[in-house]
Amino acid sequence: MGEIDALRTAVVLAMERLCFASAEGFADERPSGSTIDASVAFTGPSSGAVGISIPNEMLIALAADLVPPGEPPPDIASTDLVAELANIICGNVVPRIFGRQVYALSPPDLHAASQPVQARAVVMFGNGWVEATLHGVS
Amino acid sequence: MSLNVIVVDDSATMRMVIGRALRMIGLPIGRIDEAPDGSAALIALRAHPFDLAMIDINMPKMDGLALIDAVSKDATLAHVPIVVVSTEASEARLAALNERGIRFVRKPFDPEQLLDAVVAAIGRAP
Repeated sequence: MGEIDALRTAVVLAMERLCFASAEGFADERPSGSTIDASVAFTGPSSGAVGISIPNEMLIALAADLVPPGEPPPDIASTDLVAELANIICGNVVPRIFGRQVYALSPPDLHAASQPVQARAVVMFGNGWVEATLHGVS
Repeated sequence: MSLNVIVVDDSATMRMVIGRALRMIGLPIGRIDEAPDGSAALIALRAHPFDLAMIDINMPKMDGLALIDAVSKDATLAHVPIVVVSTEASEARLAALNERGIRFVRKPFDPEQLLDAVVAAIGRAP
């Protein structure tokens, strides 16, 4: 599967099954606005990182829908959610691009990946968008 | 008889999602305990009887594979059915789990996939 299709598929599946959010289409560039970012590095026969960016308001709304009020606090729920989304999206992108060999995924980092972007996908949802990026594959 | 379950995952969001899915799939679920890593799970498993363990692989302190090894070597815990819920996709690792009779659900899962794996692990339908 191509890199952009793999990124799109992983975002659609993760958002649908974890957040019950249905994709409404794709965009070539991310809309403007502040985001919360997370990335997960992978190492194995190839290495690199997958990053995601989600608008702050969308992430807070998604976390509020998932977690009962006050448990855990919304800021912790938001960062935990974006970290887990990054983990799931990376875990689904890597086998789609590189095959089902043994890869190790790093714990999610709550920052954008530092390596150059190799591929990018933006998936649109009713209440925002998710950008997924593939970085520095070697 | 209801099933007491321990959900082991370093993500609080995922522990909650798995717990909610377990209560949606039609099985008689009793108590659901949570643990953020293998070490905490092992303490809980030795302290309380559980009928099912849902275990992630990539976790801090003690990962899921180490926890599964510890459970299988403990005569008082070796009977506990295990379902691994993970992003793991390598054919070699999944084959190794399958050889040990451990069911696997890949994240992100839908409730039907979870039901199939749990039913296969505990050996009975809803």
